[in-house]
Amino acid sequence: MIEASNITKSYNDTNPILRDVSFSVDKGEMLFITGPSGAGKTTLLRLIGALERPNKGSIIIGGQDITKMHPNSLPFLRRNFGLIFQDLKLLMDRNVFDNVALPLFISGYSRSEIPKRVRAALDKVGLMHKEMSMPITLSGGEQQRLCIARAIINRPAILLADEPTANLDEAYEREIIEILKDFNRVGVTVIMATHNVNIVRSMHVKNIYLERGAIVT
Amino acid sequence: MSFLFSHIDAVNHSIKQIFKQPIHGILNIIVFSLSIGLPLLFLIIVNNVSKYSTSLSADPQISLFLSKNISQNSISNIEDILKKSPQVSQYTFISKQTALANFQARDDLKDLIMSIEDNPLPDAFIVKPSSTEPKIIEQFEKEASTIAGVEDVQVDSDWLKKLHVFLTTSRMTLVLLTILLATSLVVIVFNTIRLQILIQQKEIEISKLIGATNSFIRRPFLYFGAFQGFIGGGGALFLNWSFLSLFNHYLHKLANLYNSILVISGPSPKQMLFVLAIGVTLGWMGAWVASSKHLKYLEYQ
Repeated sequence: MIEASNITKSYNDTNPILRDVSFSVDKGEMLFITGPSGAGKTTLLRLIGALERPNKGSIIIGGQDITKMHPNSLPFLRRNFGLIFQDLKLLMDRNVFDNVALPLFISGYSRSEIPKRVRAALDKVGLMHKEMSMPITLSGGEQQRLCIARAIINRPAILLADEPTANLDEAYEREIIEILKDFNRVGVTVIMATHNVNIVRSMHVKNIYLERGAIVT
Repeated sequence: MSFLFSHIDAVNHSIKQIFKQPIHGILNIIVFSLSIGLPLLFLIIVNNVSKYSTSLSADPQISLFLSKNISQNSISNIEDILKKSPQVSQYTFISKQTALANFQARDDLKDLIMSIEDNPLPDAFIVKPSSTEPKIIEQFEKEASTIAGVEDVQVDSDWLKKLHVFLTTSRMTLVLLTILLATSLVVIVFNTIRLQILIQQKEIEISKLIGATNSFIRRPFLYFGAFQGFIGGGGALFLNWSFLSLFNHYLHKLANLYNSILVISGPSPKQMLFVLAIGVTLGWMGAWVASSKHLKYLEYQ
């Protein structure tokens, strides 16, 4: 489903963030990208999510090379991904409902469809009762679950999670991983970047380890 | 349908933004109103003066004095030329006898005329030009002076020339003033939208990351700019209406003293619609420039 070949990304000529990275992920598979801070995990996720373009190489998703797509088509492609950001990227001046509904407004869903979908997503992450709460009043784990609800609201085929358990205690960490595993079980391809190798060890899933922008086998 | 919803949401959002910061919004609308209202007022005044000058110059006349001993044949020839000339609207022949009789009819000149033995007055054609344009009148004056039998051509158009120069200069000033104020309006909207964008920067960034198109992000700002322009245009019309009502009140009093009627008429419904359209267009333009500039920074690298 996703095939990345020889991806190189650099913001200057001297120090590439990613060097000749190649890997593939099947449909419905779960992949962990691990490595120390600064290894290029976030950049790799941003490239897969079509948020940035590599300097070299190709990323084929569903038979289409997304690195060659016209910029005007990219917003529509991004709607097929569920993105969970390391810094959450929540709108602190909007309540839980509005945060989750944002992708639906962007995709042009009808007003009658939006509340149903939002409540279904909130239910899945256990935040149904917090619908009208402001994100600032939520705990770290709840904020992360809110972020997941927003990511899955469009029923994406691919879920890209960048350090979703960072800054969470062990209980919350397990909770988030379980939620992601649940989505994976129903056929969603999950790619998760983490620096926490213990999570990967506890699960028997595909893993690539990045160090200084290259895959270490 | 979803396209329509998206527009309705954008309209709602932009109206909310106006009411979110009422003081800022009111100040902006005042600046808009003044920027559109000032050239509009100037335009109204120039148009009224122009209209008034047309009515004043409705009967400017050119006198063609003929040679003293001109034959009847030559008079007919000149009449033919005047009849065919496109620069002539109408003409009247005044024979020297008629001219003398007219003078004799005047009490103040009666004694003087009676003391003259011969009729010193020439035959003449009084011509009304087809246009009050100084250039056309000047051209006719030149052509008429070359007609055989025409001794002298007198045009009383100096005041007309001055008025035309004044109106042309006013119109040019109006154009420059309009360009200046329109530019300032675009800059004001640009700045307002830029501030709005900065306030909503995070929302824009997140929306872009999760699949919002540039038009989706730009839409509420465009409506916001257009609304401000529309309200500003309405404000400009209101300012003009208020000013003209007050001005006409005093003008009416002044005109009464001279037994005359003078009223500065305001913009026509068509012009009012045009003012509103200009407001909307300028607001929309400013918003487009500001939002495009910001979106450029968020483009896919």
